[in-house]
Amino acid sequence: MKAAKPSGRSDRSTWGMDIRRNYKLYLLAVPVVLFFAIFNYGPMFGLVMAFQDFKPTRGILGSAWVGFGNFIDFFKSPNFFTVIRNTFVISGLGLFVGFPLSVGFALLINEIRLKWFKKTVQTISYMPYFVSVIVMCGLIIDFCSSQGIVTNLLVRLGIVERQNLLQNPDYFWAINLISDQWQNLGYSSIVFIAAITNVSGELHEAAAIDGAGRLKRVWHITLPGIKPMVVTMLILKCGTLMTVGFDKILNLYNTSIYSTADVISTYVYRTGINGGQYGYSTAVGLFNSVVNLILLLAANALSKKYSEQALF
Amino acid sequence: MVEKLTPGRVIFNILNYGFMILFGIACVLPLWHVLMASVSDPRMLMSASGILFRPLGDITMDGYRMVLANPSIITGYINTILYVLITTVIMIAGSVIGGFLLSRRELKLKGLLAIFLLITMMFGGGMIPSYMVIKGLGILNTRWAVILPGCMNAFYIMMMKSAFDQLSPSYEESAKLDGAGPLTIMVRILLPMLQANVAVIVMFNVIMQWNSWFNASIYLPKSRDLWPLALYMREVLINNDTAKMASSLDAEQAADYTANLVKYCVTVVGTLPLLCAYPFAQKYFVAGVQMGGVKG
Amino acid sequence: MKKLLALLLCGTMSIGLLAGCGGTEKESPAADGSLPEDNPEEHITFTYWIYADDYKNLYTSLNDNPVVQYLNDKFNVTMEFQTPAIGSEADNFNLMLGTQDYTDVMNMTYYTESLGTLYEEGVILDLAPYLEEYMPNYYALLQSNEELRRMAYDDEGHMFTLYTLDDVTRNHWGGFVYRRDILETMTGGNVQFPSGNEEPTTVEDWDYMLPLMKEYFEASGLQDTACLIIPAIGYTATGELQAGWGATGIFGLGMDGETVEYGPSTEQFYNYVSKMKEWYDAGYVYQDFASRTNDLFYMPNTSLTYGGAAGVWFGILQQVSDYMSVPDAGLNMDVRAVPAPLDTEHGVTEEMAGSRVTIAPATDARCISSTCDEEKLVRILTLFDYLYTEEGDNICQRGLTAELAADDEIYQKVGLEDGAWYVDENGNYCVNPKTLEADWPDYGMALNGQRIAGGTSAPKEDPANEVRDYHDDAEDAASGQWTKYPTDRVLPSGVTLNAEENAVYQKYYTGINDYVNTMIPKFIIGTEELTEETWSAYVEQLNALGLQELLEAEQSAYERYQER
Repeated sequence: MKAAKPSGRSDRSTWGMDIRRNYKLYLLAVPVVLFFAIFNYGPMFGLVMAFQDFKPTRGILGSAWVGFGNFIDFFKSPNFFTVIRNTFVISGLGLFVGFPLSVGFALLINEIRLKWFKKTVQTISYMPYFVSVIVMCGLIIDFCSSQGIVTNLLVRLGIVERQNLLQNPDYFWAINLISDQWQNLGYSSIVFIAAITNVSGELHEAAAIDGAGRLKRVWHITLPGIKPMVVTMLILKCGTLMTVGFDKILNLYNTSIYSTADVISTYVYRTGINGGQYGYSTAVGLFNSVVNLILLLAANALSKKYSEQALF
Repeated sequence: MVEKLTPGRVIFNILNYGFMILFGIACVLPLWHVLMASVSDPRMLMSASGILFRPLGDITMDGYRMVLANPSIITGYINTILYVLITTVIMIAGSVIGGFLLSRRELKLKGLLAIFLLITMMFGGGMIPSYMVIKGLGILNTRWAVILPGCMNAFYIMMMKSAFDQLSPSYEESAKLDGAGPLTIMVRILLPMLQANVAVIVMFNVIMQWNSWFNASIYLPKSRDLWPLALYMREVLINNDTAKMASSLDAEQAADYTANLVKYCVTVVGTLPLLCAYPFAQKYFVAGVQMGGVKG
Repeated sequence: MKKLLALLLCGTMSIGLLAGCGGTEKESPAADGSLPEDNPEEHITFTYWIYADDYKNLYTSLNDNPVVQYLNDKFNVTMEFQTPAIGSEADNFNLMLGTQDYTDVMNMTYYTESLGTLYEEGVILDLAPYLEEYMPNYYALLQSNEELRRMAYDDEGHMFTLYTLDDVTRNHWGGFVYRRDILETMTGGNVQFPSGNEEPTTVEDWDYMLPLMKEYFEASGLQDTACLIIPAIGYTATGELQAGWGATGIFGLGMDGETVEYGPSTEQFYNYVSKMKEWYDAGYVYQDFASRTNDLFYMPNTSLTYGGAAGVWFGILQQVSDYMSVPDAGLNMDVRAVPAPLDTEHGVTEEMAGSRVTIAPATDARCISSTCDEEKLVRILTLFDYLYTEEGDNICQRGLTAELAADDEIYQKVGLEDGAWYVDENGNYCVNPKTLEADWPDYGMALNGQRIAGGTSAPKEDPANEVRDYHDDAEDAASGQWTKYPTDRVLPSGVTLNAEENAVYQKYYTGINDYVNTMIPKFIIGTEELTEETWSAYVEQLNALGLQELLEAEQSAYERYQER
């Protein structure tokens, strides 16, 4: 589409012209940039710890340099591939299943015409988000125990044999995904509910007069209307694929299902932070960040190419 | 807007309402469980499993009495409200400005600015360097140490950016012709249409600030009286940690029936205000819809 | 428009200024109370890093603790505590080290590496040269006990830490317990253990006991039950359960008492796991044990234990006898302590089961940092030395006496004008009877000085003065059961790794530990088959993960310890 191209045209203007024309905008940007420079970029010198055998008592200047030693330790660790795979699968499921669900949930909410019902459902659906992870995980562990209600239900339906579902590596991904949706669906759809609100009512009216059905209007008006928000969120999500909610896994997993439940953050927690190995955990963090950044840039580029929507 | 009820529509409505009711029930349960547990008999609570549908034993307010007797809770509330208010004001200003700038197609530096911000979402220096920055600024053990590092967030800027993107360019064209500056366009013309989006980031920020404890635990080691509620709450929730269970008295404390009860009560005391806040933000979502409807 | 923005900014700033005031006000609290400089007993202030506690709403900072107040007055000092938020202790401690903002005294619970390194880097002081002169009581205590002495000094004769000394037998707070009442019910009051003992002592006895429990629970109609609750990793990391099979906890000494061994790789451990598997298959072991990682190890699944649906579990002293009963609900429990069952089939005797570890004689340790000059150091040592005297220890351990409590605000507030304890006419220590009343709120450590000090329950010179006041007869009996086996196969807690060994430990330990903790539950549940072959494959994998290197490091550390 040609509409997305004006930025391309302005590229041809010189920096001088750009600054002269937009100096007001740049002035506006100064405080924001300054803020991020101090509070976000300021501490980033700490990333050099990734290349050090960091000892708190010696500080960053005094600690020994180990080059890529910390990274190599991580790549060579016996569980490296397991935790990388688990991290990708768990956050990938969150992306490919969870994300469409939250958009869908927002659309479904929008279809409700009873105002009090709509308000109530919205309020209620975000409640589990506030229940602490420890309480939630306690409930999940109870439900999935060999006598728990979920197990009872599944046994009655003939889906599983009687067992503790959390002691079987095969079920962890499903348990984690479903419980994640239970706790976060309402909360994560708020963004989209708000975006739908901004879609112009006039367009809907016009389409309705033209005889477009509900489904058609959702497809041709609502969805394109919230596309910028959906794409933004999707790209940002791709930039967090290497990050999995740490508290939840830590509270839910157990040693007998490490093979599917252990993720990078929990693994580093056990090996690094517990032993005060700051260099090592910084290295793993940096590795994660780099992969995340690559994923985000790729998602952004893909999105730019196919949907003319991008973060930059 | 009057809708014709086709058979398909009826079936859809039934399914939709049915699903929402079921999902709503599933969502209320955990909170209901916490609420019921917080007024249960502590001894019976200890021997219960699964979700509680009603309080166990006689309803007791002992847990709440113990929580509210703690002077730190009140201090914590005041501090938290202060932090939430200040950070929200700064956050709105920063996110609106940032989002607006990033949505300007004519801006040459836009891409660079976006990357500059995005990097802060991925990379962080970690605890010790951050501490050193705060110390270098001389704001250790002051409220600023909690307010400043957490009050701006690239994520919110990106959200505002796509909200500005969502608006049709035609809105600002006429204003531009009238010679309005960018600030006027942003605040007078575009912002009023983005109430719902601002409401969302405000809500996100309020929730995040309300629950945040990490900065306070690191930057306020000597100023307990400046701690936010969340940090006090965390102390209660996390007490009896195995790491420091060394002596007999620690172990005996763990067997204290009420400790369990207090944890539930603290959860309720800490989250209730937030739950009440949602309907306020919701007003803006619904208002937007009505506005569209009326115009049509 | 600009007006609006300016207003906004102004608003933010003024709120900020207000906020800032609140922050800075707090900065200079300790500027008062200055004494003439030539005073030999000049008032000094020293800072002390220690993890915080729940002060039961009596006060908010350890600075206000009654025992701290008393010590401050007595020694003309001010102890200024720096306590991190609960749950952020490790972060805070590492920050303190990382920013070189050391306090004068530092609790070392959250330090995981070698103390020798800290000394070499000039962070902490060597206390050995000062000990005899300035800490005569602590010195005498160490000289009187070989194990304590070895523990207190490192291989080069330095002393970096002042320990909290604990009397193991007296303060034994936890171990396995069983429901005697179930056995009584099932046998009609005629409990006959195959070993012929009053209490279950052998694996055979447990083989007699567990089926009875299962039968009882099946008849009870309870849905979720467990005859035997074992920890999520399938064994007790501290060694209590597998001790009966002659296997140690994690690191321990072999049967010869000289070689360091890794419990989960031994033949005895195989016997243990086989038995657990047998019991799991028979439905005696809690079917969901592996998923209960969040149960504190002494508070396993409270819905089972407190709900009367568990037979044997790792309990704590307080649960012994009828404490857990709810007569109104028809729940009458007789909980008794039980030692690890001896694997007589493989010829394990009490002597061989000497691998029980629960509490080391020394727990908390504190170092004195190089921020102290000699004068300050001496003053601090003098204060701490007092806590290793009987009088100081008592005050620290149990709180203030009537005499001292008379002018203490907090003691007045809670109504303990008579003090927390007293010595009766026979010379026995007794607690204030008020604190034994049912409605007495549990003030935990808020009224005594256990958190602060070094001398907590140092072994008494005169054993007749042993404190019995905390425990009744049932609790004494339980302690007796739990401490029944010798401790000579326990790796002494004073064994310290040097920097090189520590590097080996850091490199291999987590991998090995992870693998063991993954495999043992799988063996028991049956996800992994358990045979001689699979077991030796498992041991081989442990060696591949660096077990032998790890053992060598531990061995050389242990040998150096022996030579001290």
